[in-house]
Order: sequence, then structure tokens, then C-alpha cells
Amino acid sequence: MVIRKLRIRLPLSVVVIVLFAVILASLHLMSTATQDSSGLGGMYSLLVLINSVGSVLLLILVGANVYGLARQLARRAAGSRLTARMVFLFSLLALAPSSIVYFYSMQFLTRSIDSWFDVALDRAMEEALELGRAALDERMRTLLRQTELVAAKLQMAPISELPLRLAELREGSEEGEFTIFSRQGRIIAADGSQLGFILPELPDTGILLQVKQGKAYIRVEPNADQTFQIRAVVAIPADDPLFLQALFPIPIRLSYLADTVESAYVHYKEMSFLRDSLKQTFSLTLSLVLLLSLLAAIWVAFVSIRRIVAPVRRLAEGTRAVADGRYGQRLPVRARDELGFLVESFNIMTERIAKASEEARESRMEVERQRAYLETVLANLSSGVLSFDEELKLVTANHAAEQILHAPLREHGGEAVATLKTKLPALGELFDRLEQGLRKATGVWREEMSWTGPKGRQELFWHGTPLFDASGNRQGAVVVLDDVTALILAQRQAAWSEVARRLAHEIKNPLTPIQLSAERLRHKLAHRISERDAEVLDRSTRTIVQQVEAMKSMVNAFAEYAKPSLIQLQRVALGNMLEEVVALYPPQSGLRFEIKVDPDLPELMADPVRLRQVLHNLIKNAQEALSSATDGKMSFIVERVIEKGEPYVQILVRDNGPGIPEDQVDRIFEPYVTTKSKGTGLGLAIVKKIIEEHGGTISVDNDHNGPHGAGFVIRLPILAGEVHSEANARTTGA
Amino acid sequence: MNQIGFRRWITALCLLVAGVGPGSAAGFTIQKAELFQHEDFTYALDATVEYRFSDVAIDALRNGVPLTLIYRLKIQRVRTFWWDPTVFETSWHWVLRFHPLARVYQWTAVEAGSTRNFASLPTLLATIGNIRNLPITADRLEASATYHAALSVALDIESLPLPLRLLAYLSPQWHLSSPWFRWSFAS
Repeated sequence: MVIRKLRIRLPLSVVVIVLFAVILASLHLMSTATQDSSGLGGMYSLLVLINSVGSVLLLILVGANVYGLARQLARRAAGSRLTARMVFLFSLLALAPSSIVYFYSMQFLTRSIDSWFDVALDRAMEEALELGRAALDERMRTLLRQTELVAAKLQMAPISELPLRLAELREGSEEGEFTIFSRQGRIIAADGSQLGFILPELPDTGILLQVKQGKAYIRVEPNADQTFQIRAVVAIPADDPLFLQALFPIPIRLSYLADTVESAYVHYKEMSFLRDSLKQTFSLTLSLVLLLSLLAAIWVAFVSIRRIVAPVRRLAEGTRAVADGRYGQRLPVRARDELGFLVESFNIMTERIAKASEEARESRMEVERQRAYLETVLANLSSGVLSFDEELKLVTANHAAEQILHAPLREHGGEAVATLKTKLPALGELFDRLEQGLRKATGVWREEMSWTGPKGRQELFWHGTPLFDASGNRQGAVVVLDDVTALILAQRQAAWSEVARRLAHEIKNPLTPIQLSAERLRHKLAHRISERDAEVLDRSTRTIVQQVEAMKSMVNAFAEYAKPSLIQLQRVALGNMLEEVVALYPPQSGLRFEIKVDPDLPELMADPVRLRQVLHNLIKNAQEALSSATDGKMSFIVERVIEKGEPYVQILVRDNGPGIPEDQVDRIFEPYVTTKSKGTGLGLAIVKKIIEEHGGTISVDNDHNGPHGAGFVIRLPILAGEVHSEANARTTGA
Repeated sequence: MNQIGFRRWITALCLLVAGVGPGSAAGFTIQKAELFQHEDFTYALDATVEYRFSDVAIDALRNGVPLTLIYRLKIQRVRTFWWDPTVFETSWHWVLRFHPLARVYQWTAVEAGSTRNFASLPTLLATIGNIRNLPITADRLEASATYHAALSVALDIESLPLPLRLLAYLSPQWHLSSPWFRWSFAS
């Protein structure tokens, strides 16, 4: 990873220049070292080794690159094919000319080395050496004779006189150095021009052995300083044989010539001996140079091609990313060339795409938000909304529509009205009417319908609006649906109140004069007429008075029902109130009471007078219903219930009377709806009115209704202070 | 120093590559070596060396290629509970050369600067194989201590002419070095 980063960071040109400088330096040193004259001969092997190691390293580098490329090719990585093609081309371009140069260089090398040697030169060399030897031989023979002469003259001399005799004899001879020594190598006498304090060098044992056998030794010997000397060794015949060694220097000119000839000969000989080695070494060097430069070229090709291809690869990857929907891709612009321009254009393009897609996303989100808002509005609308397309398929249905129609309409979205009719048979009649409107209406249409749904009779009101697109084509319709049952009920109740009020007003006024007139009539005429007539009069006037009383109480009840109530809220303990009210009805009244009150019951905010009236009315209602029965029972169960998160006080009122007939259950709380022979028919209507004024509800207890008795469920809110105030406001307003 | 290491490495490599084959007949052997002390406390070396040159080497010598022999002497002091330190190390070069004009074989002791001529190669080899009283300037040796000494002789490939060098490295015929001859002595 580090290496990769490093490679990317270092400028390519610097790397290449350094690499080639190193290779060139190394190769140059190696080729210089092959020349004998250079001082680098000693480093040759090291240089060859360094270059070989360099080649191996480069080979590994190239191998690693080739392997990496092969893997990229197998993976079908972006840009790998282009890289492979370019590397192949580069390598071919590098290989072709260098191979040609290599081939001809090898040929040239072999031929030129071979051309150094030929038979004539060979012979000339041999003969030059022979000539040199011949020149020296002549001299050697003379000197040998001279030495033998000296030896002969010394033959008879006693050992003690030998040094003196030697000095005498040497006077007459050429300059040279004479040494007489014994067989054991002991020097007896020495004399010579060049002899100083250094002991003369004695011949080795091989020479002595030869001389002892009677053969004189004479030979040219090279000195360390490239001069020559002639060494002659002869025996001095005696009982204990002695040896005479004579060393003659060869004149400088001759020595120089001999040395030149010998050097040239040795050089030539050495060269011809090394001919094959030379060829091999040169070709090895040349091959190494070729290998090293080829590998370096291929490696540099790899590196530079990778750099060239890098933007292309990045472009390919970037394009792929854009195709996958990732627009955030930004490519680095590294060069100011055409590829750099391309990369820059790509960046601008992706930026624009990203911006456009972001805008699209935002507007989509905005639409979504608006749709959600609309849906929320629709969901919270109390009116049911249904929309249909041009083929009368249900498109939308809100929650209120489902509630009003008691059917899971949203599950049937996308279905045609005809299908809906078969799937939801309860709505058949409704959809028939809707379909007519949807098909025929050209403008807004309104309809009302009294519909018996699963939850009883409902008064429905709707208006439909056909929808048109921009070009005026019909696109379907939207139907807004309202359940007006409660509204109609309220209207009916209001009407009843008005009737009651008028009745009370119009009827009550003449009743008192009627009653008074009747009483006066009886009083005036009673003792004026006959007893029989008086009896008739008395009976008739009494009937009039009684009926007027009855009418008065009826009118009062009306007035009570119609009276706009003013409730005064205060804290009420319902249990205590219940006990107080029940105490007013002793067992003689024909009713037994059973009261169950939840001990944790909170206090209510209610008008105690009105609430008491509710209880009285309920008890009276039961009494009247039970008049025929002997064993009347009534129960009150007061408890706290929570429905839909709202706490209520629930009062269950039950009796064991004849119950409420099925067909009157819905209307039992309307005025003058009664099953009993007695009573005004307003008792339960008033109860309902008061309970509703308190924000509560009353309904027939369906679980406890039948021939064995009737039951009511009353619910009063506990904490809804606002409800009370509302009730207050409403009643005050009325 | 580096070059010596490198040479050894190459030698080992070549031996590994070539194996110990027919060329193993050639080679140098130190049969005997001894260091002794003169009365003036200077040291001298006596050694008997057998030189068996390969045919290629002799051929090269006769064709004018000088051969260099390199001798190495190492002295280590013996310590009982500790590693043995090298107290003395020396090397010297002897060059063998053939002179075609005089038809003699010349021996040159490079460091000593002396030359001797021999009429034949066997005479030369016999002479230089019998080393007597070769002065060694090992003046750092302590008295009454035990030492290990080691001597080896090898043909110096680096001194061969350049064209021959690479081939010599690659051919066992040119690897004529003797194994180390080790002995102990007390001063």
C-alpha cells in the first residue's frame, strides 16, 4: 500500500531517469571494465553480479506486473485490455530493434575477435621469438665457453686461493658475477661488478643435479625488472667437486628488444588462449545489457502505460458509478492534456446530473409531502370522500367514508363499482344510486338517501363532482359523503321542543279560566237546580276540573322538556346522591333497589338538581313499566370505565320489567314514544336531554333488553372540564 | 572484505551448481603446517603444501596467463569460557608465470618482492610446496598462551584476466582452494 502510494507520488519522469541512469552507469562501468587498460578490472565480477541481480529484480518486477495485469484481465477490470495491448506493443517495439542490434553485434563481435588471429600472424610471432632466442643463443655459447675456461683455470687452485684467482680471472672477461660454491650450497668465493653486500642467488637443486652429471647449465633468465640475465653453471672438477656460477647481464638494448618480443608473444598467446573466453564474456556482457535494458523498458512501459490508462480507467469506473446511480463521483484531474479535458468534462457532467437528480428528488419529495398532507386532510375529514376514475373504478376512499359506510373500502381500491357491488352486497343499493350519478351527471349533483346499513338506519347525503383534465376530458368523479342521521335527529328534537313550547304557551293560558268557570258554574247552580241535575252538574264539572288538571300537568311536562336549561356545575358524589334519591322510594312503592358503586369513583362535575331529575325520571319510568308486576327490582351499577383513552363514569340502570320492544329501541328517547299506558312520554326524552347537556351519552343496554327487563347505559365524562363548560355555553346560548 | 565474502559466496554457489565431479582430483592440500618461534621471539612458518593444478590451469599458465596463489593465515587465541578472538590475520600472494623466451617458470613473492626462476614446473611446485622458515610478523602473541592457527591457499580467480574470470567462477576446474589446515600451538 505504502509502495503503491509512493509510486504514485513520485513523478514518473524522475523514477525513469534515475532508473536509466543507474542502469546506464552500471552497464558503462561493466563495459569499461572489460577493457584491460581501465582500472575497473577488479570490479568486473562485482559489476556483473550487480547487473545480474538488477536483472533478476527487474524480472521479478516485470513478472509481478504481468501477473497483476493477467489478474486484472481475468477480472475484466476497467482499462486492463488497453493496458495489455499497449504493453504488448511497447514490448514489441523495444524488442524488435534491440534484437536486431543484438544479433548483428554478436556477429560483428565474433568476427572481429576471430580476425585478430590468423596463421600468418601466429607464425610471425613464433618466428620472432625464435629469432630472439637465436640472438641470445649465440651470446650464451660465447659466455659458456668463457665460463668453462675460467673453471678450467680454477681447477688446480687450492680452495684458500680461489677468491684471489677468481678476481684475477674476472679481470679479463666481460662484466659478470662469478660465484664458487660447494655442493652443500656454501659460497667459497664471489666476485662481480654488481655484487655488493647481497649474497648471490644460487641455482636450484635441479640445475646442480644436471651439472653434476657433467652437463653445463646455461640459460637466459628473466629478472623481476623485465631485464634478462644469462646464468651459466659449470662444475670445477676436483675430489670434492665445486661449482662455478656466472651471471651475465644482457645489454640493455638487447634486453629491451627481447622483452618486447616476449611480451608481444605472451600477449598474443594469451589472447589466442582466451579467444573463446573473450567471446563468451563479451556476449554475456552484451546479453546482460540487452536483458537489463529490455526489462527496464518493459517496466517503464508498464508504469507509464498505467499512468496513461489511469484516467481512462477512472473514467470507466466513474461511468459505471453514474450508471449505478452514484452521482457523487469526482475524478481527479491530473493532466492538462486531452484526457484531462475529458475527465474534467466528465466531472462537469456528473455534477449536472447530480444536481438534476437532486432537484428531481426534491420535487418528488415535495409532491410526496403534499400527497401525504392531502391524505392526512382527507383522513381527518369528517365527510367521507370517494373518488372514481373514468372507468368507474374506485381510486380513493378515506377513513371517514369507511366509517360512514361500515365497509373496508380502501382494501377494494382499483375495483370497478360493479365488482364492489358484488363484493360488498350491503352497499349494493348505495352503489346503484352512485353509479347512476357517476355515469349521467355532467355537473355537480346532490343526492340524499335513507340507507339501512349494518349499524342501523342512516341518513346519507352526498354530492358528486365530475373531474376533467386540462383538455376537458372526463377523468372520473369525486363524491363527498355525509352521514346526516344525527343532524336530522337533532332537527327533529328541535322541532319537538318548539311544538312543546308552543303547546305549553297556547294551551296553558285558557286552562285556568276553564277550570275556574266550571267551578263557578257548579257553585252558582248547585242549589238552584234539582238534585238529579245537580248530581249531573257536579259530576261534569268535576270531570272538567280533573281533565284540566291533567292537561295542566301535561302542559307543565311539555314546558319542562322545552325549557332552555341552565345547568350549574359543581362537585357531585354520585354514590351519595343515588342513595338519597332511592331513599325517597320506600318498599311500599313496589320496587326494591340494588346499588353497586365503585369505591374509587371520582367526583363528577354536574348539576345536582338536573342529575337528580334524571334519576327520578328513570325510577319513575321503571315504576310505570313495572306497575303490573308485584315483585319489581331495579339495579344501579356505577363504575369507572375507559374507552378510547377517555375516562367515563358509567351507570348501568336495569329493571326486570317487560323490556323495550325491538322496533322502538332506536326511537325510545324521542318524545311521545312510549310503551306504557301511563306517563307523559317525555321522561326518557328529558333524561337524554340532560345527559347530553352534561356531555354524556345514554343508550339502550342491548345486553340487557328483552322480556326479562330493560336496561340503559349512561356515560358521563370525568375530567372533561371543557365539556362541561361547552355544555354550559350551549345551554346558555339556547 | 566484501569482495572476499562475495567470492566465497560465488564459490559456494558454483560448487553447488557444478557439484564435486571429475574436477575434484585437482586442488591444493596443506599436509603440514607449523609455527615456531626463533630465539629473538619472531615467528616463522613451516608448511608442506601439495599443489595439484587442473589441466586447464596449467594450460593457461603455459599460454602466458599468470596464476596467483593467495595464502591466508589466521591465529586465534584460545579462551576457556569465552569465544576465541582472532589476534592475528595475514595473507600473501605468490604469482607463477611462464616465460616463453627463456622457457622458465618464474615464481614471484609479491609482498616480499623476490623472484626465482625454475626450469620446470614440478621443480617450482616442489620448491614452493616446501615452505621453510617463512617469517611471520605476529608480534601480538602473548607468552604462555594457547593459540589455534589456520592456513589456507587458493588460486585467486579475481587476478585472472578478465575474460577468464566469469568462466572461472562457473567452472570447478578453477576452484583449487585448499581447505583450512588447523593446528594448535603454545607460545
